Amino acid sequence: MKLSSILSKNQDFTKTFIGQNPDEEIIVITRRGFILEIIWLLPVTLGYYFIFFTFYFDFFFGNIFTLSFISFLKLFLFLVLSNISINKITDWFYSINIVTNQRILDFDFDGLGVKNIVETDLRNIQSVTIESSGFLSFVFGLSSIKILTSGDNPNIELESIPGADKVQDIISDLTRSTNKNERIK
Amino acid sequence: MNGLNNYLTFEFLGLVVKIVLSAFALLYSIAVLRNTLDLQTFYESRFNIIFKVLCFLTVSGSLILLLTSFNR
Repeated sequence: MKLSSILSKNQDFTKTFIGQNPDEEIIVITRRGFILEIIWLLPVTLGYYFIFFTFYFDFFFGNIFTLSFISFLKLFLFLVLSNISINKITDWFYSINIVTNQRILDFDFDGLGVKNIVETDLRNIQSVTIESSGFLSFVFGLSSIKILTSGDNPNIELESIPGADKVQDIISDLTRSTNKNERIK
Repeated sequence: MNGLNNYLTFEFLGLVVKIVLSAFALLYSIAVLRNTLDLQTFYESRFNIIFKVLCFLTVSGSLILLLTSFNR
C-alpha cells in the first residue's frame, strides 16, 4: 500500500528518462523538499516587491535620473530576477532521484551548466541509511538517505527528501528481492 | 579634450549603461534558456513546455529592452 501511494503521487511527473531500458520500470521519484528553496525565494520576493511597490524610489531618485531611466532599471531588475527564479526552479524541479526496478539514479543540477549524475545497480547496494539534521528538515519532516555501495561503485545520497522512511523501505525491499533473484539464477 | 567632453555627457553615459545592462540581461536569459533546454533532455515531464515558454518570454523581453535602450 505504501508503494502504491508513492507511485500515484509521483508517477505522472515523469514518463521516461535518458537511458531508460525497455524493461525498466520507474518505481519512485523523489526530489528535495520545496520548503528549502525559501533561502533564495525570500530575497527574490523582496526584489519583486522593490520593483512593483516602491513608488518612493521614483520620488527620491526622480531628481537624479529621468523617469525613463528608472523604468529601464526596474525592467532590467525584473528580467534578472525572473531569470534567477526560472534557473532556481528548474534546478530544483529537474534534480530528482529515480528508483527503478534495476537501479537508482541521482540527477543533481546546481546553477548554470553544473550537473552531477550518479547511478548504481540495485545489486551493488550494501546498506541504506536515513540521516536527519537541521532545523528546517526537522520541522518539515525531511531526511537524507545514504546508499552505500560495494567496491568502486559510487555512493548515492538522496538529500532532504520528504517521506524518506517509505523510500528507504522500498529501496531495501527492491535490493533484497534483486539479490534473491540473482542467487536463484 | 573639448571634443571628448562633448561626448561624455550624462545622457551619453546613461545610454552606455543602458546598452551594457540590457546586453547582460539578454546574455543571461539566453544562458538560462540553454540550461533549461539542456535539463529537459534528461527526462520527459509535462511541465517542460511551461519552463520553455517562460524562458522564451524572458529572452524576448531582454531583446526588446536592448532594442529600446538604443533610443535616447
